[in-house]
Amino acid sequence: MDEKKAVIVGDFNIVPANLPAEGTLALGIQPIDMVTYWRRCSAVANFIADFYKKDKGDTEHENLISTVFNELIENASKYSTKRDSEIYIDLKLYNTVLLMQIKNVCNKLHYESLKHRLEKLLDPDTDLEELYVSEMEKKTHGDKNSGIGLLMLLKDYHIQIGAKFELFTDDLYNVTVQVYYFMEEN
Amino acid sequence: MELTAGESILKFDKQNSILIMQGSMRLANLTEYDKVLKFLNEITNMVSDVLTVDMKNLTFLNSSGITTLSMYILGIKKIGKPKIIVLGSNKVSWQDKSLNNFHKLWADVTITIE
Repeated sequence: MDEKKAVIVGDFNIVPANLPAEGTLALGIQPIDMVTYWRRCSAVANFIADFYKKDKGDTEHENLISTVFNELIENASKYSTKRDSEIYIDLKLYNTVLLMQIKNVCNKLHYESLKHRLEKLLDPDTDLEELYVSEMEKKTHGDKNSGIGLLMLLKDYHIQIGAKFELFTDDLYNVTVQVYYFMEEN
Repeated sequence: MELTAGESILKFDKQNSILIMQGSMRLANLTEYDKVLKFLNEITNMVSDVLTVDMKNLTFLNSSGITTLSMYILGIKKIGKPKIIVLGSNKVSWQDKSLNNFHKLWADVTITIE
C-alpha cells in the first residue's frame, strides 16, 4: 500500500460535508486515564447518551447510545498507544442520525487487526449470527481476547460503521472510527 | 451469596434458584470477568433443574460481559442442565437488542422480556 495514502474501510464520511449538524459535541481524553480508571469509559458514554437523548423520558435512546458508544471508547482506550497520545471524540446529530467519531493512535499490529476485523464484518458474505455463535464456541477453548464488540453492534443495533487509517510515523497509525447510529422512533 | 463486580451486583437466592443481576456491568476485559464466571459456576452447582437469571435491573452489560455469559451458557449446554430462564425488561433497551443472543447459543435458554 502507499503508506502516505489513507486506507478507508466501510461507510466513512457518508454525510455530505456541507450538511449542517443540529448538535455537535467534542471531547478529548487520554487513554492512560481511561485504562487506569476504567469506569471513566462508562462515565463518558453515559454523559454522551444523556446529552443526545431526546428528552428526560427518552430512556430508550439513552440506553442504546451509551451502549454503542461505550464499545467504541473501550476499544479506543484499550488499543491506543498509552503515552503522549489522545483520543478525540466528535459527535454530530443530523436529524435522527447520530454520527459518533472517535480518533486515536495505535500501532501497526492493531491497525492490521482492526482493518481485517472490519473487512470481515462488513463482507456481505459474512453471516454475523453464525459468526457470533462460532466465535463464542472458540472462546470456551480459552481465547481471552474479547473482540466481539463491533460484531455485536453491527448485528444487533441499527448502525453503519467505517474507519480511516493513516500512517503518520514509524509504525504508528491514526485510526478514525465512525459509527452512524440511526435513532429509531419510540 | 453475593458478588460485586464493578458497578454491578449479583445476588443468588438459593432457595428459589434465582440469580438477580443489577447495576452496570462493564468490566475491562475477560480476565476481569473471571470472577463473575467463577461465581456463576459456583451457584450452578447448587441448582438442579432450572436457574432463573433476572437481568431486569441490569442497566448495562458490555461486550466482554456478553462474551462471559455466552461462555457460561455454552458450558452449561455441554452438561445439559440446568435449563436457564433469562428475565429481561423492555425498559432497558440493550436487553431488547441483545438478550436473544443467549437463546441462539442454546435452545434450552428461555428469554422472557416484559
